[in-house]
Amino acid sequence: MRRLRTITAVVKKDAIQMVRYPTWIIQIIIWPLIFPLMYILSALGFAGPSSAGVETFKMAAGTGSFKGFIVVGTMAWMWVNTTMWGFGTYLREEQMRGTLEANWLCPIKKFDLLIGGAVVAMFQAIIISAVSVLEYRFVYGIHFTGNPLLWILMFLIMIPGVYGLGILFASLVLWAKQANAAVNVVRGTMMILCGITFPITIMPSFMQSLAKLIPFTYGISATRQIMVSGGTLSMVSKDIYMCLLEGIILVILGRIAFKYTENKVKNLGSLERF
Amino acid sequence: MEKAVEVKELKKYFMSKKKKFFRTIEKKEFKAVDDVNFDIYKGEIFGLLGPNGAGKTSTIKMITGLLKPTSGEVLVMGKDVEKKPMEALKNIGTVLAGDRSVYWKLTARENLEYFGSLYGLNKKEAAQRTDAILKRLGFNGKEDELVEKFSTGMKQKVALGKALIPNAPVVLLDEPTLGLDPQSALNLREIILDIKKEGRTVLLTTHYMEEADFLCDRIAIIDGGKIIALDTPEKLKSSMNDIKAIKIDLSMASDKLVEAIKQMDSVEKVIKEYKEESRSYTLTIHHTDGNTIIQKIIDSISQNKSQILNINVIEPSLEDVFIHLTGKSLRE
Repeated sequence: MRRLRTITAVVKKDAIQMVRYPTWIIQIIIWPLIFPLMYILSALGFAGPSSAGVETFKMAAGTGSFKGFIVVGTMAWMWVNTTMWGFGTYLREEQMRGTLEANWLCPIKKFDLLIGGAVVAMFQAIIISAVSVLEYRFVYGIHFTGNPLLWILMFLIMIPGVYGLGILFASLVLWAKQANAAVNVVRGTMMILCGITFPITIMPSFMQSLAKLIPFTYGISATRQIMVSGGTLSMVSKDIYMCLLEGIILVILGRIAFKYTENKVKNLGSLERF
Repeated sequence: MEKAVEVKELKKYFMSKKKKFFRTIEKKEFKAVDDVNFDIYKGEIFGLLGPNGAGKTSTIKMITGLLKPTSGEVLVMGKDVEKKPMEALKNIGTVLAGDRSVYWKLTARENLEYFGSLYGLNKKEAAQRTDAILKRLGFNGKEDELVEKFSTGMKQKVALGKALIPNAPVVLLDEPTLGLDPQSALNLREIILDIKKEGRTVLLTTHYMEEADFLCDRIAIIDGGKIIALDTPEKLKSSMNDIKAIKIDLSMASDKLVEAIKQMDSVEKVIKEYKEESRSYTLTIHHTDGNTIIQKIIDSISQNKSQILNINVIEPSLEDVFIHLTGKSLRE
C-alpha cells in the first residue's frame, strides 16, 4: 500500500508537470506523422516507377503492404522508445533539477520513483500509439487487420523488455551522469537490429542472431503479423513467448544493475553530481 | 539527556586515482571524515561548522544515509542509518540544496503534499499537514502559486516546509538562510527557534557565524575531517580569553606584510581576506599582547606602503574562535 502511494504520488506530480510543459502535445501529434514518412518515401523510390520492387519486398517481408509494414514497425518502436528512455531521463531530469537528492532522502524504495516516472512515460506512449493508429488510418490510408484487443496485447507483451532495458539504462545514467551518448548509440543500434522499417531477413546472419537477443524484434514481428498480415494469436505465439522471456530476463538484469549502482552511488556520495 | 542523533567513530575515506590514458598511475587515500564522534541531544539546536572541504557535507550525507561510511555508525532516534535506513529516514526532515530541492513547476501546496505522500501520509493527512505548515510559514495566499514565481526567500520557505512535512523529531537544515535578504533570514531563524520550542532537534549547518551564535545550543567545529572543538557558543568564546583580535581594512596586503606581522611576538594568527565589493583587504590578527602591538602593526603597514582604511580592536567572536582553531575564515 505504501509503495503504491509512492508510485501514485510520483505519477501525479509528473503528470502535473507534464501538463505545465505543454510542448509534448506537439510531439504527440506531429512525430507519428513524420517518423515513418522518410522510410515510406525511400521505399517508394526504391520500388521503381512501376512498383516492381514491391514483389521482392513481399517475398522478404511476407506482405506487399510496405506502408503498413513501415508504420506498424515505427509505431511499435515509438511505444518502446517513449517508455524505455522514460526511466533514465526521469532520473536525469531530477538530477539536473536538483530534486533527486530530496526524493532519495525520503523513506521509500528508490525503485518506486523509477516506476512512477515510467508510468507517465507509458501514458504518453499510449496517447502516441492511439494518435498514430488514427493518423495512419486516415492520413496514410492504411487498412489495419485483426482485433484492436489483440493490438493492445501486442503492445503489452513488450512491456517487460521495455522495463528491463529502461532500468539498465537508468542505472547507467545514475553511474555515468550522462544520458545522451548512450541513448544515441543504443537507439541507433536497436532501430537497425529490430527491423523497424525492413524485414530482418535481409540483414547478414550475425546481425540476425543479435536481433534475436532483443525482445522487441519478436514484439514488432508479432504486431506486424496481427495488424498488417491478418495473423491470429496462435500464429504469433512463438514470438510472444520469446518477447516475454527475453523481457523478463532483462527485468532481472535491470534490477541487479540498479541495486549495484545504488550501492556504488552511496559509496561515492555522487547522487547529486552531474 | 536523551540522544536524538549519535555519531560514533565515523570515517569516510575516498580513494582518488590519477590516470594517464585510462591507466591508473597513482592511488591516494583521502580522509574526508576521520573518526568523528558526537551526540545531539533531544530538543537542542546543534550547529556543525567548518570551512569548505572540512568534511561537513560528508558527515551530513552519512547522517542522512546518502553516503555509506567506511566505518563507524550513525543512529537517528536509536535507528541505525546503515542497517535500518527506512526507519531512520522517517525520523529526519531535511533541507539540502535549499530552493533547488523543490519542484518549481508545482505550487507550494503541491510540493508539500507530494513529499507528504513520500513520507507515507495518506491524501487527507498530507492535505491537513500541508495546510498547517503553509499557515505557519506565512504564505499569505501564495500557497497555490507556482514556486518558480517565488522569491528566493519564499522558495527557501517551501524547502523548509518540505523538511517539516514528516513531523519528524529531527530536522536537518543545511544552509537554510543562504542567499536570503536580512528580513527573510530573520523570519526563517524565528521559525527554527519555534521548531526547537516544539521539542524537536535541529542539526544546522551555516556559513553565518552570527546565525550559529544566535541559534545554536552547541556547536561542533570540523576541520580536516576531525571535530576540533565542540561546546556551547559561550564556552567556545570564553576559550579565547587571553586572545585579542584586531581587524584592519587595507588598500593592499602583500604576502610580505602578512609574513612580517606573523613574525611579531605574541601574534598567534593572521588571516587575509579580499573584499570584492570594496576591492580592499581585511587582516584579522589574533594576539596575546596588550595594545602595544597596534603601533608595531601600523609601522609594518607603512613600511609595506599600504594604506589603512579602517582599524578595530574587537571582542573575540565565534568567528574568531573559528579562525583561531582552523586558521581559515568560514567563507574560504
